[in-house]
Amino acid sequence: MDAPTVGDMSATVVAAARDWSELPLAALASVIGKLGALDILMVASLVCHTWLEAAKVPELWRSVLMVNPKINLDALCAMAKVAVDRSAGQLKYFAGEQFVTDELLKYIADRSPALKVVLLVSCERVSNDGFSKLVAKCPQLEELALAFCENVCGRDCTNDELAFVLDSCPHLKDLNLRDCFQLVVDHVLRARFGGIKSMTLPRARGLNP
Amino acid sequence: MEVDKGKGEAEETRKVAEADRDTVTLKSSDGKLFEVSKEAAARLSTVLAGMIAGGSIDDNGTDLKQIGSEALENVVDYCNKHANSIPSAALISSSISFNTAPFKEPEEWERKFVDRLSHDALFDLVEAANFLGMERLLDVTCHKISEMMKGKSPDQIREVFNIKNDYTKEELEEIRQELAWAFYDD
Repeated sequence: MDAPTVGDMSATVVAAARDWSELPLAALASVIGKLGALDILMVASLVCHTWLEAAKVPELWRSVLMVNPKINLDALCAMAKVAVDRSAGQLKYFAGEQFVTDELLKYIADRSPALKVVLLVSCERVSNDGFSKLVAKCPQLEELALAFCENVCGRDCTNDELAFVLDSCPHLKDLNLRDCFQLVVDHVLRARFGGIKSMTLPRARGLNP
Repeated sequence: MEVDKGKGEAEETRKVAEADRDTVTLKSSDGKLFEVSKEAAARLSTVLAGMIAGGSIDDNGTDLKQIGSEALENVVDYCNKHANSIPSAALISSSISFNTAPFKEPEEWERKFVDRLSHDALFDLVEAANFLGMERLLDVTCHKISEMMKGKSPDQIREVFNIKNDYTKEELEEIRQELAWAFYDD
């Protein structure tokens, strides 16, 4: 048996290796969809044209979770907007840490009729006003969680403000406002909790079962 | 109680016939035949389920011209060995399963199943799973691939997955600007 030449061998190897830009778009989108939002934007989109096309499939952007302490907050904000654009109105679940602003919340609220879940962690740039506008524009919200967002419903959140949230979002099932130390859960407020299945309030004055 | 021998044999024949109907024969693009449990195929693949329900299954081997023998062997292996522990394809959200789909982490055996595959075999299996509408298998293979991508730069990914960089410098710059990533490294 003749041994193949080096040239032949390398030719065989090249011919055998699949070119991963040639996967069907749906399969490629499934692959890329396993990555986090930031990896899709900052890495997968830069691989080649086909991967960029797959990275723009709106279904990929139904869920956007952005947490990265190493990236500039304004750059994260810009990327969140690209994510919202790519979702083409399908965004359902948004979670952000630190970088979120009132303006971004407005951008999201204006373009996301399907938004159901919002989680904000340590978003000091979000104000009560910005948050209220989001809530007012997204009556379909089912889950809201704020943690360490000092300027929203923070220590000063009043019963009226909570009542506003509850009235604005009749589908709310899960509400986590563990930093709202000013809330006094009285009978009036309790009467509005009708549809809520899970509620987290400050421990000191929380809702006792 | 005495058992009639003739009746027993008839029973055997009937059982064999029944067993025959319990499997489906699939034919790869290169003409190899594979037997797969009909129940498992129908449960794990929306496309095979449709073919079985629609009566378009050929007893002499249903042609799957898009799938090579190695990939089809992996598909059949996946179905036959592990059918019972896998949720039905219909239960997992239809369309393409993206990160909002309730993805269940791969089981230990599923991990081993994909870990032993070469890059090319993995590629072919993703293609086959996509073609056959096998949501769970697609999920597990895609999960494996995403693990292979973790922590890699676009350059490294191109190298691992044998992809040509078809961007011009200007195009790359344009995408970077669209995303406004001033990477404020300093």
